[in-house]
Amino acid sequence: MSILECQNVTKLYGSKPALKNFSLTLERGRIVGLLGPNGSGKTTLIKLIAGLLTPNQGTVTLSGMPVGVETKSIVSYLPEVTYLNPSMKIKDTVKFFTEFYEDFDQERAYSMLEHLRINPADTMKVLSKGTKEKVQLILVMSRRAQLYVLDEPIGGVDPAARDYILNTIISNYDENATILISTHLIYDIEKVLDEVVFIKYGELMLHSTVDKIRNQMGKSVDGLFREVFRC
Amino acid sequence: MPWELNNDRPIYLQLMEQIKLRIITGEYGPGDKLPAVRELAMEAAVNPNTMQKALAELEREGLVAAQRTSGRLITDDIERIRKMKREMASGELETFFRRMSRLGFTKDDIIDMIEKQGKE
Amino acid sequence: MLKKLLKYDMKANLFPLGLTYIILLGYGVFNRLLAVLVKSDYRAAFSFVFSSVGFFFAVLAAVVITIIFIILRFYRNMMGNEGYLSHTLPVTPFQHMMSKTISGVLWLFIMSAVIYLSVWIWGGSIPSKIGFYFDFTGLIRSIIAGMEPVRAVTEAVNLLVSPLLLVVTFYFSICLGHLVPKMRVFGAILFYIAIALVKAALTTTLGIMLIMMKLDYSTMTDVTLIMNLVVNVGCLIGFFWGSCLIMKHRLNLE
Repeated sequence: MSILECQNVTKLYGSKPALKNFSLTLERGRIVGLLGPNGSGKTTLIKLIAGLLTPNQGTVTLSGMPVGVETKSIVSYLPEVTYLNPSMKIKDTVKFFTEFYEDFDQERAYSMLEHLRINPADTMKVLSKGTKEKVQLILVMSRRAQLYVLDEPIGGVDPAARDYILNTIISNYDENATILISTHLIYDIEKVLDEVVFIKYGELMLHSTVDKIRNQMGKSVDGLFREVFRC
Repeated sequence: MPWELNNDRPIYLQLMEQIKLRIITGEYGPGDKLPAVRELAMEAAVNPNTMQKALAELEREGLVAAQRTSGRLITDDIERIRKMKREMASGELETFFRRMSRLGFTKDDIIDMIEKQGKE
Repeated sequence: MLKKLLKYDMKANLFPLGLTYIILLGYGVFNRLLAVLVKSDYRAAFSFVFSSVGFFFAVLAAVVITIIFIILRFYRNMMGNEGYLSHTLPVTPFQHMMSKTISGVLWLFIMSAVIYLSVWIWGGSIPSKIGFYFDFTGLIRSIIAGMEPVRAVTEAVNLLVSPLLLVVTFYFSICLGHLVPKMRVFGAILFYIAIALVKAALTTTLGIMLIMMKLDYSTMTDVTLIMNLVVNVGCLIGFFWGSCLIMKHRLNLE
């Protein structure tokens, strides 16, 4: 059964449509890039999957279930913002995740923190922005979820951190899980993707495997993106 | 040897080429055990699925063999590896000759230049 | 899940409120010491009275601080950046509301206990020269003794419902304010005022209708009490349910 199925999803903000009749099916075991310019509807789609928004029309089902408490247990979501309580210590956030998520792998989280030489006794607020983002990524990737949804994980981060993040994504890859990464930095992430989804003005422009793009069109995903989204 | 991949050709083909290169240079010796797919994927910074595809293709070509318990082994067919090395060298030479003749050099010119440059 | 949420909701305010209560208790002890001092030096009486007046404001401040932090916890955890985490936990909005409501009321109870304790510390036996004697429990006993069962029960239930309603009204106002994208905080305040106005209008209207029924005093007091209770319970259920609905279907975090 496919991990994600969006059928004719429409989401309006007031009268403005953020997603228009959007349909998409994602299978398991893929790393998928959700690519589009700012304001194209990427974050709206992600929030619908995570259960932070409800569609005006259409359905979103995860592993056959409608978005709700059960789907939240199988979806691991990384937002763009810092969503942890600033006065919490890192080890407290690990404990928090352990308590609320059955699929959370505490050992893995601590080993990743150690690998980055992050002190679990530190409070979130004393960390630099980059470190905060890494901590959140570690928490999200330490869950053994069926769908990981990462909203702009490499956006405001330096190149070395970007490499680390992509590396974390690769090393935590589970062939039964799907990772959906939204970004506008395509060049850095291309080699890691199995499939890409192009989204523009809330509509699906393209859903293809990366190899098809390279084979049949003879271009990189980055190259195709620039063509499709030419200003 | 660092992995050199670009984005406009299928990655799995490039990975196959790069692994073949490593076999030729001896970085992966005949009969050696290859690291796990995940490790290789991390090293090359690519999707593990893609690395898996590349290795599967190499298996089909007989350059790599999958053992039940001990992962993947490079072929120990040294003659085959030598042949690959020769083919690669011959390919490089062809490209070289083509380019030089486009610049207008004859075969004798080329031999002369090689001898002279070889002495330096 | 609910227990876990509750744990974290209580813990969140432990430091700020704990600190406030320790200070209040400390102030109570301070006043008590002043009172003892007055025994030996009557000139300290002026400071004692002055400090006692200050103590009244300190109690007021403790109440305000408690309410502020209860509201802040809800706002930050449900509507702020933390909302991205809270609303993606495998938890229903109902469970969130239960946890926030119960923890809010628990903190109010703790606050009350601390206040009673600090007042008791402050106002234990004080020299009769000042003629100042305060017996809290005796006061409560005398109030209850003079009541009839219906009234007593209604009052007791109202007493239980009041803190719940206080907290839930704040939460509901915040949820309503959330529906107005550009002015969420301002909207919450407006909605709170609007709710208070509507409720006041409702109870006044009902009260007038009651007067027009020309009942005797005793029955009227009973009916008024019951009416207030019904309105309060209705609001409690309605606001709670409304908050859950808003968080389930109309959530839109920035």
